[in-house]
Amino acid sequence: MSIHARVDALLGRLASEPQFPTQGQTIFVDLEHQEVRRAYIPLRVVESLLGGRGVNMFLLHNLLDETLEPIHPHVPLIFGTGILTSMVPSASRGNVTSWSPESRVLLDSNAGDYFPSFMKLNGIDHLVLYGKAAKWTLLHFEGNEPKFIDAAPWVGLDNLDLRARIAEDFKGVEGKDYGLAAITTAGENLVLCSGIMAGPKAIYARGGPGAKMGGLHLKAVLIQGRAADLTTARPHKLRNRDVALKLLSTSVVKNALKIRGTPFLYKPSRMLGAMGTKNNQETTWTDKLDAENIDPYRPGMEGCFACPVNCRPLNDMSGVGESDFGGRESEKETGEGFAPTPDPRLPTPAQDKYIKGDGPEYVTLGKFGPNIGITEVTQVLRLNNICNDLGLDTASAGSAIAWAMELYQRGIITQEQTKLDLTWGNYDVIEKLLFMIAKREGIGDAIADSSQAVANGKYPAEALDYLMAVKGLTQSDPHDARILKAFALGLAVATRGMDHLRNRVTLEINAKINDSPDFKAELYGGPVSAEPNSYEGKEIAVRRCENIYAVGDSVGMCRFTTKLFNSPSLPGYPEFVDQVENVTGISLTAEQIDGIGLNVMGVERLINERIGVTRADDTLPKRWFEEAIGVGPYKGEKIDRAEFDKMLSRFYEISNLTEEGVPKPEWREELEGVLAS
Amino acid sequence: MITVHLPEPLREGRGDVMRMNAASLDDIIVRLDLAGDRDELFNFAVNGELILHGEKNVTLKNGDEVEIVVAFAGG
Repeated sequence: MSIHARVDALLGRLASEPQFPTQGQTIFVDLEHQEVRRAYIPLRVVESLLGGRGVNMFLLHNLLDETLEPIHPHVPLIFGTGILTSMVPSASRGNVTSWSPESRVLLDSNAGDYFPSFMKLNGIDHLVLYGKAAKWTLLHFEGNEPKFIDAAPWVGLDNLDLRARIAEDFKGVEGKDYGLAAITTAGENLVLCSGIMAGPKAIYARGGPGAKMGGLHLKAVLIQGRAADLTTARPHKLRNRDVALKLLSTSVVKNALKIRGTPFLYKPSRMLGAMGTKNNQETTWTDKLDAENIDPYRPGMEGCFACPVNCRPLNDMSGVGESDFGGRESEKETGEGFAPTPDPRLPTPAQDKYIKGDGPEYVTLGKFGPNIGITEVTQVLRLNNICNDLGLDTASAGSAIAWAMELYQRGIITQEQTKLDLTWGNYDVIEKLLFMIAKREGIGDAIADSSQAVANGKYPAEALDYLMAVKGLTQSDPHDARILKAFALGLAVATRGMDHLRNRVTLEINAKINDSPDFKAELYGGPVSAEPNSYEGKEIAVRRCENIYAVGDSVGMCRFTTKLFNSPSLPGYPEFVDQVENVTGISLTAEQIDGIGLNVMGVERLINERIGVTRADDTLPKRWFEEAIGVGPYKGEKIDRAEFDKMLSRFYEISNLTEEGVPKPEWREELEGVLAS
Repeated sequence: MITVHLPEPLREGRGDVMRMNAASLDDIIVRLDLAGDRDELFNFAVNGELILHGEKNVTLKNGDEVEIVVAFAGG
């Protein structure tokens, strides 16, 4: 059945009127024929999957033709906003969903900044894009009315220049007048580790969404104005005040997120001997990259739409920043002042558009620090700034570079092939490589294929032994999970591949919680071992985290400020059910909304089953089963295959999955009933 | 005497290193008045070894170096 027939069939089952007061449209855009159709998601689907990521899965399940290739333009690219996006503090997120050309399993990636909120505020809940435009196109929404604009003026531009040009050409300010999701030259060149940029740093990163959008000849989606009337079912602002107060009074927000952002885990990971280093051949690295060493380069913080946290650190290596904030204040306290030492290897500020930028997050610090042998903060910051401009997912790009470096170290690829010295920590080559990846030049073409480099004939088959990936997706989190078994299980079972943001039990690193068995059992809904390297009960914690994070993605809440990701005290189900009811009028219990999180995972597993994913894919890289941690208090630790397999079976059982990892028959029938709504 | 290294969020004008008599990690929590905030955010490392569980069983001896580590993660 063609995509057009699938869309016709689906539209026949969707509603023609809003099902609740704040519901926006689901807009189907055929880029090839420049046709636009609209509908509303039925109430039964909303009650089962909420919105955002959950409803994106409903749409993908109905529209996916698994006989095609992922990059095929008749495999749709679906943007979705959470059901609470733009209406609740810290709920500024949205997801993009498809079949991943990078991993070849489910593509589902989340971003914040302003684009998802502009979707919601203009009455667009979901945007289904398919068909290859005859020429590069910019889809320009004024309100929820799209225009197909020839994108020739913006093709060839990367993120910094593109955003500046769009501001000029459309006479507005991003975040105030419009939201923008766009690809860079990397996306145009179908680089599999490229994302869709939703801001100066915000990126729909994982799974190659940049390449997927490039495959549609779609350069950008611009949503201008605020046309929708988002009158809620009931007053919700009083409860919003509670949510904001809860956010801002939580230790993790006031002491860390709001002040420095996310790079803190670097230090405990390296002290534990769990910092992925040199493609996880080693597990500890220099203290020069500890979070406090970034302080002198941080002129301030930014944030997403209507978020009181502002967790996004800016960076400025020029030493001429204007702000007197964050690290500079702490330097002042010690009387040392703000005087970062210029790195003589880097260009001067006047020459260098990468002297300042946004970030880094913890993932980037790890992936472009220890994972590739870099020891200098300024070099990590500059690589971070380049990736933001080139639209590269730092997790996938960093992992793909580390993989190439290990292959080079082992002689599996040689300088004859690479034309470059891929020695660990070779900064000049790494910087050059980023541009070569974006252009698919030389060895950059192989790295641009990310985990598919062997399948695409760029590396020999033995290279797969050193690929740190699950289900074709390289690891997002630089934390080496051979010690923390809950982290390991999460990475193995995540439906989009090896990614910590789907289910990581971060609080496993919290000694206070580990030493409080009753509290820990209450937190996760069952007994979970206090010992980080035990397999006992870890499936319970992963299940609880996977549910609440899926709910968070479906309401549009940021992961960093969702209960369990970093704190037991952040907003969770009580706040979500209250605000879903206030905003939509849909009444749910905490138990029901937890069930929705499970439903989202269940539908994702049904999609993956169609693509060919099996139990054998819920696994971990070979290295973690066969090579032990070599340093630290858990020296000798690795993953025991038999124990892992038993833990996986227990996870399936409590997740209502069969031994093959798909929904059990009765639940499957229920889910398929919802999907056929 | 125990040397305690404080992360920036906990310094509150105290400087980054303190010395105190303490027989256990609980003693340090009490002396630094950390019982509230540290629940969610801070771990201890003793002589460079990060403690992930069993804090109550850790005894300190003269000359030990204790570091309070921000144990928090992002994406």
